Amino acid sequence: MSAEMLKGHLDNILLAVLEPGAAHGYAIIEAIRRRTGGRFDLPEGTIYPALHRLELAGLLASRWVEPPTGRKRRVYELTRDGTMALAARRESWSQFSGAVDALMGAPA
Amino acid sequence: MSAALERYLSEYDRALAFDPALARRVREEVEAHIGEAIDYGRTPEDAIARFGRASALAPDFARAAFPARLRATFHSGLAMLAATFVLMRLRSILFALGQADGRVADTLTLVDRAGFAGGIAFGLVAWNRIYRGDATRAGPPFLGAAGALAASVAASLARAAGVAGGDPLIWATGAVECALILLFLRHAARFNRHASFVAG
Repeated sequence: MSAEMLKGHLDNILLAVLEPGAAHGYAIIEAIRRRTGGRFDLPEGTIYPALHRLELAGLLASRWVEPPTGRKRRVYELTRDGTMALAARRESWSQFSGAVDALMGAPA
Repeated sequence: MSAALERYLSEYDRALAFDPALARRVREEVEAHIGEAIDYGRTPEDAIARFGRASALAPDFARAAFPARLRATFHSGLAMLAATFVLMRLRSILFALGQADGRVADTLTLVDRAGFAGGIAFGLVAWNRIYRGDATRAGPPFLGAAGALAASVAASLARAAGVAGGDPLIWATGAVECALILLFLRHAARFNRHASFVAG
């Protein structure tokens, strides 16, 4: 799947990946790859501007975490507004994809 | 840190130099991410290649941060405008500046009022461009507003100093206005550079 096609859905993808809990950028990329069976293979840096944008919109919060052993990382998590936005976008996506499926499926 | 990684991070530093806080955050996050990839067994070159080209990503970071820059600049301008008006009126009432006459006083009054009106006019141009979705072109009017308000403040202070130069209130209000002007000028200058970068 092309990176350009994915870019339009990146915000929703990131909100969905962060739904189970806080994660840092590298883990987010890995989760996207794992959950899509490797079909979404974006340039890894692509997610960071989107994470910044979602944070400035109040849908994500971030903080630096420094584990006792290991590397200092900035982790992102959904805010209350982010959780509500994800629910609304999920509903909207469900309707949209259902409609496109109806059109793109076998000819009537 | 490898030389390749340092070169790569320097590309972000240079591209985002108009916003030191953003540049620092981007550098730290990119370095952490690539470090993580290297920890998982990639070479620095491979980790950098998979992250993406800095020349493509830096404008994306700038675009993401642009609305916050716009808000900060706009609010700083509004604070400057309100403070200029209130403190100018305060000085005018306390020192009866409206009664001061003479050619110099009249000229300063004219500059003061024209500067204030100019500040509002430039602000309206900026607001109009933002409202029309053309915020990347709001930089020059923001700078114009800062310059016009600076002229207004300078004329107002000179006029007040001519009437009651030794009064500490003049210096106190002047200090507040100068601090706000400098803050707004800084915001406007950074906004202008940020907007130019986003517009490409």
